[in-house]
Amino acid sequence: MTALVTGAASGLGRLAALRLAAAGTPVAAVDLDADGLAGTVRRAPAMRAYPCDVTEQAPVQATVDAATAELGPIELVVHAAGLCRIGRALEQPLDTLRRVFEVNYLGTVHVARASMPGMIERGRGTLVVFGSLAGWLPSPRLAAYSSSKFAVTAFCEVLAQETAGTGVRILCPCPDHVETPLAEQVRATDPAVLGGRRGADPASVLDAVDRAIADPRAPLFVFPAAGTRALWRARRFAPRLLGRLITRFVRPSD
Amino acid sequence: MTEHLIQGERVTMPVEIRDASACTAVFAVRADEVRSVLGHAGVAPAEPVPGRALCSLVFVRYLDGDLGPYHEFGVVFLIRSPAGRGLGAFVHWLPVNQSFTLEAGRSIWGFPKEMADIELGFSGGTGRCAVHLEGERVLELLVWPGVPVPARGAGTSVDAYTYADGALRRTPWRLHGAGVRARPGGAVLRLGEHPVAAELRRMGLPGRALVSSGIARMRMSFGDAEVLR
Repeated sequence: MTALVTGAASGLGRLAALRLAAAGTPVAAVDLDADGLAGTVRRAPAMRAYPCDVTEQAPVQATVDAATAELGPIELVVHAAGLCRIGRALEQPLDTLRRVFEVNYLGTVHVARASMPGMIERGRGTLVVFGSLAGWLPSPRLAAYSSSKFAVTAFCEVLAQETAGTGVRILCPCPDHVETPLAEQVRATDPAVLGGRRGADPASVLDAVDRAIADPRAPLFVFPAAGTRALWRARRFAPRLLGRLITRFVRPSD
Repeated sequence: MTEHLIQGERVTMPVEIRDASACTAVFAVRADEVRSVLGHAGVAPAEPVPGRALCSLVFVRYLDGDLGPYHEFGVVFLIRSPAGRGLGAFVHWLPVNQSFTLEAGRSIWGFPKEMADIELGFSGGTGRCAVHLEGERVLELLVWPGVPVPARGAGTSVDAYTYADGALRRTPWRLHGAGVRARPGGAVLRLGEHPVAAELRRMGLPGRALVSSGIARMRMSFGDAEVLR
């Protein structure tokens, strides 16, 4: 089995790539950050680095083609590449907003379009796309990120509907914030955006993803922790109450 | 600071492991069998109770470290230190599943590493591991979750002993664990038909583990080996 992992230079993508490589799975490690990627694949004979920007379709397709030729048909895709930039909904620079959308939403589209047809043709495979609790639950200063993850949530659900019965599974883990460089960067800009809370341990998030991959009956959307599941339920069944709590407790500094 | 050249890459000492997960199970085994297995190395097992020796079975998932990501299984005996008083850990068998760590482990420290197929998982606090050699099942080990154990701040130092190519070596090994859970018993061992499994069976395994533990996040460092004789 060959795996392809995006966002493999840091955070969840890096950890997912290292776990797969430790098990001896050939891994195509994909990221825009070539230096970070070199650190991930260092002394890992089962892993190969493919520096690539997921915001364009052609390089993603070229990466999938090259990885398939060099490592074998891809059976597992873990799409963890993502970007978070915080700012007020009415003031965030449009270029920033566009970049967040291009990485998070279009990146997902590009990875799915490049990797799914081969898996559908072979009748087997799993696409894991990291969504976010922010893809269900908006909160202040996360307009760009949250909207892009809402788009990812919707895209994954449509993809699952359209590819049902092909033998290819789609899983969309939606963690609350995770202690990775992405969260650290948000915290460095404004810790109040994360409600002053500590995030989840990346290892426990990946444990939940591993369990979902191993369970053929796991649902499309995976909420890796009990607290995350509770927030998702509250969003569905008590959206006004939860909204009031969020505007009360999430108080960005500017 | 010494360096070793492994597969064209410079490995500087000490080797640092920044993120690994592990499970161990300690069994009381027949000391006479252990003594005969260790005889060639000229070391003797510690016998906390006369006639009984301690054998640790351990499996480790290395993620971030100087030897790359890999899986490892180990059979380790508690021995009387051959260099004076105290105790040491004799590494008897140490299969791994990746070539870089295989070469590094053998040539830097004389670790008894060999290539094997090692499946392991650490889901929901339960650790499981299956070792196959040349397609043959050697053993399976399951470690149940224990109760949280407060981590010691400074970590632990152990002398690891190995015997390879006629030389007994001592390696200073430091480890620091977080997210440690332990309990009495708590392990299920299944042995296959491979010679290594037969050797463990002669020592009295499988049986009830004395104690088993899991370490969620482990840091380690290995210094250069010193040849004792």
